[in-house]
Amino acid sequence: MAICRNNLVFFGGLLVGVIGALLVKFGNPANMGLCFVCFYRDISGSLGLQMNPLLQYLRPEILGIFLGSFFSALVFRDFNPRGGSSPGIRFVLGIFIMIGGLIFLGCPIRAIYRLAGGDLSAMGGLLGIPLGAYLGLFFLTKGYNLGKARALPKWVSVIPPAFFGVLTILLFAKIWLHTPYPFFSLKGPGSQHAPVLISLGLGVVAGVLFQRSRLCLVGGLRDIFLFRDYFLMKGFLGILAGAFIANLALGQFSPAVVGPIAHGNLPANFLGMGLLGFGAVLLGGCPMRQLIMTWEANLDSFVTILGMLVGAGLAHRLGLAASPAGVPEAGWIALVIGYLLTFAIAWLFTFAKVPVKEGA
Amino acid sequence: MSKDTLDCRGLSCPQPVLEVKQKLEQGRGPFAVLVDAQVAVENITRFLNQKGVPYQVSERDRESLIEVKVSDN
Repeated sequence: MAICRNNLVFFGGLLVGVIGALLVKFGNPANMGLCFVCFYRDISGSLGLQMNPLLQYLRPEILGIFLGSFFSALVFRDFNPRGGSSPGIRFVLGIFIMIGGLIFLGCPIRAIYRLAGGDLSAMGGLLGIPLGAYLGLFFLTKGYNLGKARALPKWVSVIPPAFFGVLTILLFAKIWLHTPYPFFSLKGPGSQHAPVLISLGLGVVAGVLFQRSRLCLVGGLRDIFLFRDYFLMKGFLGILAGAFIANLALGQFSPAVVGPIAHGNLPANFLGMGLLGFGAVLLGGCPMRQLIMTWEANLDSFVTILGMLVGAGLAHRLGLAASPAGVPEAGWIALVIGYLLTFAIAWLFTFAKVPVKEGA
Repeated sequence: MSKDTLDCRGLSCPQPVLEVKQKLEQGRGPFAVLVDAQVAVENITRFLNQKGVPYQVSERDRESLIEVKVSDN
């Protein structure tokens, strides 16, 4: 059993790495086979939460991952409607982990894909994640707690599938009926994508792998810091190895100091990803894990996803997000505010003994 | 529920395993942990395996009870 899981997490990672490289081959933007920060941003643009004409697409991978992990959760009985652990706070943290991710231009998984594609600037972000994880764990070990989630009535578990079901209908309405809404980019990263059914299909496979393997980079670091346990990290080595080999085989590996759809501002990459890691530990999972837990009917994670969509909207409406041109001044201000607020939340729920009410 | 049962239902990852770690470090004999997520069961049992602490898992509905059999050390 233990050996089985051991292999699952490594080979699951390996496959996810290969899937990422394949999606780029089929048309996704460079080193962006799967990226939970970038894809939520494109979805937020597609829905009209932000109107950057280059960053609008209803990424079918996210919908595919929904289907995959949803059915995996149902089949393997991880489906368990829960919620009520400070959803409002989670919404706010969701906004700021998104802003952190958009300063770096990627989620932890894209950071690995970027490195596997030869983009050395990804290192800044990859080094930032342990910083964030360390900050979050400092508070966790001192008693940080957002309160207990309660079991919710069964019908509540319909809400996340309904939300993503509507997105799927919108996607196919656009493709088959050419509806004016949702918005799809005509140029830029938003217009670069693999054929819809390939994105959807590979998304389903990735969803099952993510759900079954419990892959989580932040969790992997947490286990190393707290327990000297390297189990979950194997999954990420798997992604790195899989994507690297597949990129080499497909001729997509091109070493560069700053790769495509990235910038080389080291402090921004480091601190942006640090903020994402910090928030992710406080939330109990990175942007990918939040999606998987949503399919397991964790309504708090669903609220976090909504926070991330709003965060992406804000980041582009207010001009906070970085681009290959670099980090705007407003982005630095947002980063400082993000750290201040995240520290404040961590401190309040650790030391100030905010009475955590059930269902608050 | 007996006095020596940690109720970790509804806690976010990784709080259940942290509570187990703390309880273990207090070293006050055997105890049990009640959790409602498969991920928490896996995190806790992986931690116990790593520490070489014997345990027994029993499942009821959607909840799992992990009985930790610590000896004094």
